[in-house]
Parts: sequence; structure tokens; C-alpha cells
Amino acid sequence: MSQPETISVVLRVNGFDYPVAIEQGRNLLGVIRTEIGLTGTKEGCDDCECGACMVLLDGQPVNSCSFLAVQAQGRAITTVEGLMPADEMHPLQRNILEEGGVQCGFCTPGMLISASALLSRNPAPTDEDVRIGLSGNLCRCTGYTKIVAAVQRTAAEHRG
Amino acid sequence: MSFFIAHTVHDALTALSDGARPVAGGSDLVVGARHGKAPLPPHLVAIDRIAELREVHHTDSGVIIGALVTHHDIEMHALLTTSYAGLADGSALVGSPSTRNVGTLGGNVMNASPAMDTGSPLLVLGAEVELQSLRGTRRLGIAELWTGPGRTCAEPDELCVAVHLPAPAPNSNSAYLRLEYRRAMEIAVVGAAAAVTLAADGSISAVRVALTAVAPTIIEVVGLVGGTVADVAAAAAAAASEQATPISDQRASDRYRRHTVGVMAGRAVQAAARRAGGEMIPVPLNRAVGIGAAS
Amino acid sequence: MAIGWWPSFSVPSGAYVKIDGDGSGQIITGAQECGTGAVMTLRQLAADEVGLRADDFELVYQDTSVAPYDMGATGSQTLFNNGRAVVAAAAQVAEQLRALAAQHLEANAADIVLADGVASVAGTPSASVTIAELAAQAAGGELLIGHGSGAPPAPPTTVGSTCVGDVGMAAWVAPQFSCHAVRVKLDRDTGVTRVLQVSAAHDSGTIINRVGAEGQVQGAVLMGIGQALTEGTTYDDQARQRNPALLEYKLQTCADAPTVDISFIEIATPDAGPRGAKGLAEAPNVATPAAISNALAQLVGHPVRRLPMTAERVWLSMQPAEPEVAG
Repeated sequence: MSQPETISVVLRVNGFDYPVAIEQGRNLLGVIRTEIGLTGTKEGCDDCECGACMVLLDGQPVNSCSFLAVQAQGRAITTVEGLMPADEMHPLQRNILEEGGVQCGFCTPGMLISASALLSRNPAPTDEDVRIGLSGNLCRCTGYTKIVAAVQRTAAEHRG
Repeated sequence: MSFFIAHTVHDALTALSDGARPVAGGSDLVVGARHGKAPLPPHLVAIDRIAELREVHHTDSGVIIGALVTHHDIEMHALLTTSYAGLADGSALVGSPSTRNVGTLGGNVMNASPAMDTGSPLLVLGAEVELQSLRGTRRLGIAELWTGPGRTCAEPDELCVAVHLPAPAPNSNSAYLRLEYRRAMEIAVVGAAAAVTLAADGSISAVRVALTAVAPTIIEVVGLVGGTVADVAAAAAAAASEQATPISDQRASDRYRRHTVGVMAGRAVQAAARRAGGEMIPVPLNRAVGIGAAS
Repeated sequence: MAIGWWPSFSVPSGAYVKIDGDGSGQIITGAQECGTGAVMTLRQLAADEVGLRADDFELVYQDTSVAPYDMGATGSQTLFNNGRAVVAAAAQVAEQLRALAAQHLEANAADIVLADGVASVAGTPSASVTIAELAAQAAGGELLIGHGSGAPPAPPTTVGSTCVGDVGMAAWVAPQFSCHAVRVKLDRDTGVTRVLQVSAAHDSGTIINRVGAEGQVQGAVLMGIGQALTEGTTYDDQARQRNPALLEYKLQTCADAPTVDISFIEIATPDAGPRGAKGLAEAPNVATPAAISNALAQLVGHPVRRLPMTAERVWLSMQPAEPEVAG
């Protein structure tokens, strides 16, 4: 059997360049998790419906399950591991823990990505803004209330 | 197998004429391929970095929306959310914030889903699509473009580069409303858009209504005439229910769709008339009026 | 409004608890965390028993071929059953710590108080030693290890013929009760229903971790709203699920979630779990759909008799004399 044909690209993830040889049809999610080895980004529905796979592409949230990896070359990719430098917690991460917004944790990375994108374009969101901003991230456990509270607490802290 | 990133329209058209298929956000193409709807094409040209297709131009005769303008761009755009509010109503309802970031107007139009949220607003706003190939450029009315579910009359080497909307008449505006079972991550069960022009006495002098997800393509309601807002809304509701040819599927039965598309059409006329009269109803209309929701 | 009931299933469950030389502790158990709150509550129980902080403990959940048996995260019973085991195991470690401290402080083991990371003599707080020091000392000798199960409480005495039958009496060990009130809004033209507000009162016994308990209620209420209105599986004539993906199996989104006011009614219950606690997580699923159904019945004048009460079913129930929709 012949090897599948691959394309060599460099993906810039969390500020580091990763050269990878991948098939054209591979999604960004699979390459981030398998070739690059960052497993914070989760595969949920694999269908653009749950938001567990969300990453930032040039600062904007994107469902990585449905984005071609080859199409991400030359773009700044940020995963949940890259929200803060190593060993530090992003204020959103600290607050989602303290508010009790993490239960099973599977939606958490995508929630954090959505929330950070929301706050960077709207530093003073209303509750409705937060609820719409996180509406692409499904959660079975929490009922969302404590996640919304964590986002609002982060926004308030940032405003001082 | 090939993958090429185009930076100009000409690059993209050259790739298309060599047999490549375009990919912008990928949300329809990649998900569709995984579901076995259609295999991922072997030759792809990424068009998402063609800067000239990302712009919205305001001209004397209307507005030209580049094919790569995203739903997020539209829902945030000062002119589009006011003078072309029906289109912004639709874009602001697509999927979730992340899908609106990736999903483009050109992709939506060329995907030709009868359930697309931007379809019926574009139709009532008199949209024309600009298709380009190395062979030349043509513009056609958006209703001519759609030939069936997921089908257009565009040739494989043609790229949708822009959507043209004529300048709205004075005292006119538009609205789009859809039936949704939850407030986000929905595909329209049914939807309706209306564009109306008001006469000096506040009655409707011109009206267009189009329907979403009740036929193989987006369809326009025929036979509507002006009158009082209440009369036109009632007539639009009745005509929408009568002219719809919906299917039954797991989202809804044909009977329920036929009824609710009338409800949406009547409400869309009412909302478009309020906007045309100068009232500010924020985008998207669904959240402003709240279908069954707090308002 | 509606009321609900949830059982406590009295079953065996086990745990090991140990404290290492660096003062950090582990709970090793077959109980699982899957969003159920075990990772917060079990650590709290162990920490309180030995005078450390919950953060000092790690929950190491394992296959039951390695860790003590637990039936798994099922029926909202982890706290009720495994909590008993963790407390029993931690109590053994606490006994070891008291003995070590008694030696160290030349006091009676019965007088040693374990709190805030310190072992001290009751009434003489200045006579103290840190638990970390004791743990380091133990690491060179008899290790700090406890194992626990705790006797499962017996079911209530059979009283002859009951409505659930005598077998069902097992479910009446430490039952918990709830009452939910909801405010809903109905779009009569389409049948679309939205839940605007929920008040949930729960008798779940003693609340060990309030933040976690609130999260369990908020999550289960929202799942209950989904069960009531949008979440339903449908099948084709070959029994294949027609809606296996999340676009058509509709969970409530963040944008749909209403305000949930929560009251915990902490009533002492005979045979409850550790410190009088009972299970909680799934209990708020029970009354939520019933309360929504009752509220809708008031609005439309009759009950909508099938779950989920989809917009179409609600609308159809208001149409004159038509057969109910299939599927």
C-alpha cells in the first residue's frame, strides 16, 4: 500500500513553529492533538456543534474540527495551553475554578477560548453578551451559570 | 492532490480553471466531507486570504459585499445593521460566534442551502451575485443562482466574488425572522424575510417577502400588494402558508412548517414596517422580539 | 410547580486514604469523577477528618482491580456511599496522626485536635506540631495509610404491603425530596416555550460543598429543561437513531439558560451518608420537566402528554381535534 500523500507545512501554535507533514484533508484539531501533542483542545462532536475543539486563529475563535490544518499555515494559532505562559493561570482559568464553573471539564478549554475572545473584543459585556458569546460551547454539567459568573468576574477584575 | 493558497482573485480563478475547488472557512466543505455528503475535492484553492474580497463598499447605487465578508462582519457593520437590517438579522443568527467568524456570505450563498439564514433577506433586498472566471464576469439575480438544494447555476470555474445590494428606497427597510427551538446553534426550522416601503400615511406601498426552508430553494412569495401594515402582514402570512411546499423531517412536519412560516412572514412584515418607520429594532430581530422568549 | 423524590441506594463502597512524607494526601478509590463533584467533595471529607485542606488531597480514581470497589458514578450515590468509605479510611489515618502527636507532645491521644494543618493539645494550643512534620516522621516508620468501607445502612423495616412493594423499600433509605417552581413563556402561534426562571428547593441533607452542590442543581435543572422541551431521541423504522448528532439532539445552550434560585433545606435524615449528606446531582432532573409541564398546562388549558414537549407538540395540542404528531 502506498503512503498517503502529504504536504509539508509549518504551523505556529502558541508562538512556536511546528513543521508537520500532513494529508491535505486533515483537520486542525487532529494535527494539534496528534502531531503537535497538545491535548488540551478536545474533540467533542467533530461536527461544529459543541465547541470543545475551539482554538484562536489570529485571535478569533474557530472550531478546529472543521478547519483544514493546511489552511492554518501562516496564522497565529492559540490553544488553551497558550492562553498564558507556562505554569501560570489565566485569570479566566483561575476564576472558572474558583466559581465552580468546571465539573467534568471537557467543555472547559473551549469555554476559555470563547471567553477570552469575547473579552478581548468586549471588555465590559452584559450577561446576555456573555451568554451569546458562549452559545457555541455546549456544557452538560454546569448549567452555565457559574461559567458566566467566572467570565463576568474576570471582566470586572480587569476593569479594576 | 494539491493545495494552493491564493492571495489574489486572479490566482484563485487560475486554480479554479485548472480544476481546483475553492475553500474559504471550510465549515460546510470539511463537515460535509466527513459526513460522506461529498468527498473532499482532491484539488483545493484556499481563498480566505484574498484581501480584496473581504471588503464592504458603499456606493451611490447601493452596497457591494465581498464574498469573504463574514457573518460576524455583517452583524457588526454600521450600515448593514441599519439600512440592510434583514440581512444582518440573518447573519447574526448563523450558528455560533465561531461559525460566524469563519462563515462567509459568499460561502453561504454558493452552498445554496434552502435553510440558509441569509437567503431570504438577500432575495427581498434584490441581491445580485457577481461571478468571475478567467472567461469573464457576470451578474445575475440571486434567485436565478439557486437551482435546487445545494445546487447553483455557477460553472465550476466561476468564483463568487461579491454580492450587490441596491440602495434601499426612502422609508424602506427589511427584517428576517426564523423559527428556532433554542436561542443559538440552530438551523432555521422555517424563516421569512420582508422588505417594505412605507407611503407618507404609514401604509405599505411596496412589499417583498421570501421564505426559508419551505421549498427546495429560498422562494419569494408572489401576489402581494400594498395596504395597511396589518392587512399586508395578514396577507403575507396567508400567502406564505399557501405557497410553501415544505417537507416533513425530524425538525418539523410539513403541516407545522406551513403554519409557522406564515407566522414568521406576518411578523417579518410588521418588524420591517416598524424599522421603515424609523424605529430602531436591534439585530438580530429574533433576539429583539423573542420568539417565546423574554422580551 | 412540581415535587420530586430521589432514592439513596445503600451499597458497599471502599477507599484507601494515605498521607505521604511531604504532607500531601491521596484518596484511592474505584469511585469516579465525571462532573459529579466527587473530586471536590471526597477531598473535603478526607481533609476535614485529618485536619488538612482539601487542596492537600488528590483523588486517584482507579479501575476496581486496583482500587477498592465502588459501583461507579451512577444514581448520584458517590457521596452517599463512597463518602462513608473515605471518612472511615481517613479516620484511621487521623487515629495514627493522633498517636504520633501524642508521643511528640507528651499528651493523651484522645486530647489531640487535628485542624488547620496542625495537631495540638485541646485547651493548650501552644503545644502543637504540624501534620507535615508528623507525616515526615511517619514516612520513616509506620506509614500513614487507612482503608475504609463503612457499613451500608439497612433498608427501613418492611411494613407489609406498600405501594412500591417490599422490594422497593430499599429505595427509602435516606430519601431526598425536592420542589421546583418555574416561570415559562409560551408563544401561542408557534408553540415555542421558554423557561424564564426556576426556583429549586432541595432536601439533600447536609451540604458538604455549597459551590459544588449549586453547580449540580444548576446543571441538572438545565438538563431537565432540555428533557422537557428539546431533547429527545428519534428512530427510523430500522431502529437507527435519526438524531445522533448535537444539531438535532438539542441541548440547551448558554443563551437558553434561565436564572436558577436554589434553596437547600438541610434536614437531619436517619441513615443519611457522611455528616448527614445525601446524593444530589440527578435529583433536580425529576421535578424540572414536571414543573414545566404543569406550567404549560395552565397556559394551554390541558397537559401536553409527551416529552419532550416540543414546539410542534405544544402547538398541535392547541389545535382542534387533530391526531397527535408521531415520532
